[in-house]
Amino acid sequence: MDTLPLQHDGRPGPHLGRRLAALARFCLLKLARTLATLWIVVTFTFVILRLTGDPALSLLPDNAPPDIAAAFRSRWGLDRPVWTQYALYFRNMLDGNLGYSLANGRDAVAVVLERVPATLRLTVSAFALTLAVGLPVGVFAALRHGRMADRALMMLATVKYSLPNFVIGIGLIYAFAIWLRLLPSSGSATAAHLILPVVTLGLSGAAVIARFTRSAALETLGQPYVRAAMAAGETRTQAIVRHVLPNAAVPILTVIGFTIGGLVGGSIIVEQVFAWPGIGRLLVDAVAVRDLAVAQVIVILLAVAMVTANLAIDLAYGLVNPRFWNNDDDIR
Amino acid sequence: MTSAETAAGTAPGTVAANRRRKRSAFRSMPFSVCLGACWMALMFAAAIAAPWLAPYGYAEQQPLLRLKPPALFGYETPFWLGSDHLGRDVLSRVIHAIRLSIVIAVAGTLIGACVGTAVGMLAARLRGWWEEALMMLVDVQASLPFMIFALTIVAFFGNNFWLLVIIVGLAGWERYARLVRGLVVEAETTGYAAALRAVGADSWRIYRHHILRNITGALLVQMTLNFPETIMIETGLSFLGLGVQPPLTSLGLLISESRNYIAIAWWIALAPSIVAAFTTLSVCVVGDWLRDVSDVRLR
Amino acid sequence: MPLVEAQGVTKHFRVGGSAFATISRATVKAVAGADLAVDRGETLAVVGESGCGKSTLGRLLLGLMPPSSGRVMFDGHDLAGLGSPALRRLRARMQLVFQNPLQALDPRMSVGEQIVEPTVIHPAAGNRLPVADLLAQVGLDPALAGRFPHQLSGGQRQRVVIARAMATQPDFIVFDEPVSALDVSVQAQIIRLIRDLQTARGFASVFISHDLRVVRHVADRVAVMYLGRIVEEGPVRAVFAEPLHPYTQALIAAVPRLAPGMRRVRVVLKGEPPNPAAIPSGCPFHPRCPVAEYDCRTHAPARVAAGPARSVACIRVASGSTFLPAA
Repeated sequence: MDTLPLQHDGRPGPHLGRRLAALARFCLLKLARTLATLWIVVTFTFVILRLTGDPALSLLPDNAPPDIAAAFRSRWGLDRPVWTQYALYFRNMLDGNLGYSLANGRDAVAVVLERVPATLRLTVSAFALTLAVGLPVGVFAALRHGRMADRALMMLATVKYSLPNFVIGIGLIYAFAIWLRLLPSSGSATAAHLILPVVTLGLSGAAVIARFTRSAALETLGQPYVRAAMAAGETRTQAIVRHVLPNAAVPILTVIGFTIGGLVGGSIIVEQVFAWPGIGRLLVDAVAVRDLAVAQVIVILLAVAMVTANLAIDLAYGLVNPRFWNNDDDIR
Repeated sequence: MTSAETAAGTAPGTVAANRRRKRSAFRSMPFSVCLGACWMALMFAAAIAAPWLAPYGYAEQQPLLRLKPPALFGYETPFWLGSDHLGRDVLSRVIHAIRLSIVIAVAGTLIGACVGTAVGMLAARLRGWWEEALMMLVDVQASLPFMIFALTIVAFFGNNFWLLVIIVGLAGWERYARLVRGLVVEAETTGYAAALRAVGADSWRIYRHHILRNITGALLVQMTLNFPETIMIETGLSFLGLGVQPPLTSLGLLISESRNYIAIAWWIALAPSIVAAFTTLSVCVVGDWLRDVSDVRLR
Repeated sequence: MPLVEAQGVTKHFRVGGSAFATISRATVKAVAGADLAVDRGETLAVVGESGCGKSTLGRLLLGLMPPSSGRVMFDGHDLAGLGSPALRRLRARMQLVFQNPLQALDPRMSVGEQIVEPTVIHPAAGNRLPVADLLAQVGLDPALAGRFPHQLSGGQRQRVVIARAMATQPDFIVFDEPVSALDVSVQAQIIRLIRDLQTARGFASVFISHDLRVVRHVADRVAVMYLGRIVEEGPVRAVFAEPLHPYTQALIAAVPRLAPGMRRVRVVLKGEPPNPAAIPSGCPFHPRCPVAEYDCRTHAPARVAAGPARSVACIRVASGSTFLPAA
């Protein structure tokens, strides 16, 4: 570091206008990235669909009436150059016209959409459970750092997050449905049916969140300003609430982003284990019989959902990041 | 070069000191890590010696001895871990499943490390637009659950063994790419690679002699950290019926098959579940510990 | 003909944002029209605050990055005109010593191997001294050859970097802040080593530093940089005894023991520290200059001769109304 004894006045204070401009730029950048991600995913499905052969054969049922097939071909421009096909592919995507299910000849988008509520019920509940368990456990473990409770909880978390979801699911089915006969093992008829899948899915996320919250909290607890606050008479709990959590929010938000990805990926398996009638199970069935129209709709739908969730996390990240409001040099 | 070698030979104490330092880190290995390492060694041994260890063939059916409980729990049957609905020995099937799962995971890990390292090095070497484009792909891959990607490929291309190995290999390639790019960019901008360019070394020499040697440790740690995910992707796909296909067998497939009989024959699920759980857990514990004791920086 | 010559060299960097976000980019003029010449066997010091572009200038002189405009001549070759293989071969004759020796060394290679690496890369260059001799000439025990960089002290590491730079017996070495990362006690030893090597080997060098006391010990001439421009240049003794540019005066006045004969006029700089992304109009120094005139806001002064072997870029010197603190 060069240290010349020149008189430094320091930078001028933050101007609200510049802050807002920086915020707008940040949001635009994130939005552009989101759209680019979607573009890449859609292009990927387009390329891969061409690689498998004639999309008319892949996306239409075998017994499709000739007039529907002809309409499909002209709408997708299958006799036109590949760039036209690419453009039409995007237009059809925006129109929600993505082919027909191989299984029953129905519109693929409609087939998928009727499964969405079940998946939402499962993943949203699991996400709530993830946060409701993960955050308090992490903070609690950090407060008990190094003691029995901390070690036991962290061991449990490691075990939980390293086990495959289907092993846990089957273990829970055996324990609660077959042995104790307390809960139904599969299906979605009642609210009780929700419990096992939500616990299976939610606890893996909770384990990750708990581990991260703990280490983020511990790291902040070691910072001089927190030690100073505690030296000035704050209790550990007060310090956690007033200093640690706000500062640990940034890393924790990042992990929550990962958790959502884990939830979406995990729901595919969990729905299969518990015969839950959501889009994950539909996707597996579609893949098994190579119902490409349905598989493609689900992939794009899940990509949109994930990318939107990531965008929300990114924006929240920008808002809670204190650097954002004090120094615009670091914003990317 | 020869002079350097002789000089290195005259100071053996320093190399030994280096080794001592490493050894003391291994001596302070926590019990859980030790256990995990032993389990992994056991699994690799089982994978290698599967044909000799398994008392029966993995597809060998004995129709008269179906759904027999395990001898290990005191039942009078010829099967240590019981038999399944087709009268196949669960122990033999588990051993062969371990073999296949580990072969796929190892091959997949190597593929992922190679692909990711290549992408990361290219991004770091080319900089500019190429780097942006490559890292964008990395971001896209990282922002989507890999299971969806894997299912898409299976949906479009159907199911076969080598495709499965490649899919498993691609799980986590973006992490290698990020890691390698970060390390190489650092070396190229402020580190030893920049110094070597100033000395006049060409890229081939810098990458071959210096960068590869320097990133190997970090890569090995990253491979250990990724290993559980490769196993989970394979067992997960197999569990969904979209991975390893019968008559071959894998841990996920075994658990999937056992599901229908869980109410009457719990032992079919028990062994593969325990093996799958212990294996991923062991690798996770060992990987975390390796990351903590090694001085490599992982993001 | 000088060994190394920079002719109107400019370097612009684009900073901020990614390649996709061209809106948020700014251009930093790290070096703006620098003219320099280093003769064989001569040492030129480049001094200035951090961010003034002196490290960039050093890298430009070695052809490690192409200039945005202008050209760098090395022994009659235009570095930008050489292809990369030819430039690599030329590297045997010009070397760089880094600020942070730990970063500049491969952590997984023994220092002995690293020191001889330049002679492996350039088989025709140098007299291929054995490792032990290369180590001995920088004052290191040959027994250290088998060690790895992290097992050495900071001073030892910098000696290793210097030994590596000396391996091909170059004609020209750029020392980029070679001692600023070291302890003060070690700094003096490394400075003495550099000075001894200069006398023994007679290579030309550019010594980049922000520490004027160090510069006085090693350099024949000194160039003062401010925001990418060389504002004053001349023999070290003359410049330190009688600085002409107000910025040089401020730098020297800030180091009390540098010029004990000079009457202490505390030249205090005001205003914001320099930001190379937003260079002021006119004379870039005018917002902080204690003696700035109205014209300084609009006219960028060219560097003009001022006394024997000296030059300065200041409107007041050029117009004859020389501002001297010790008048």
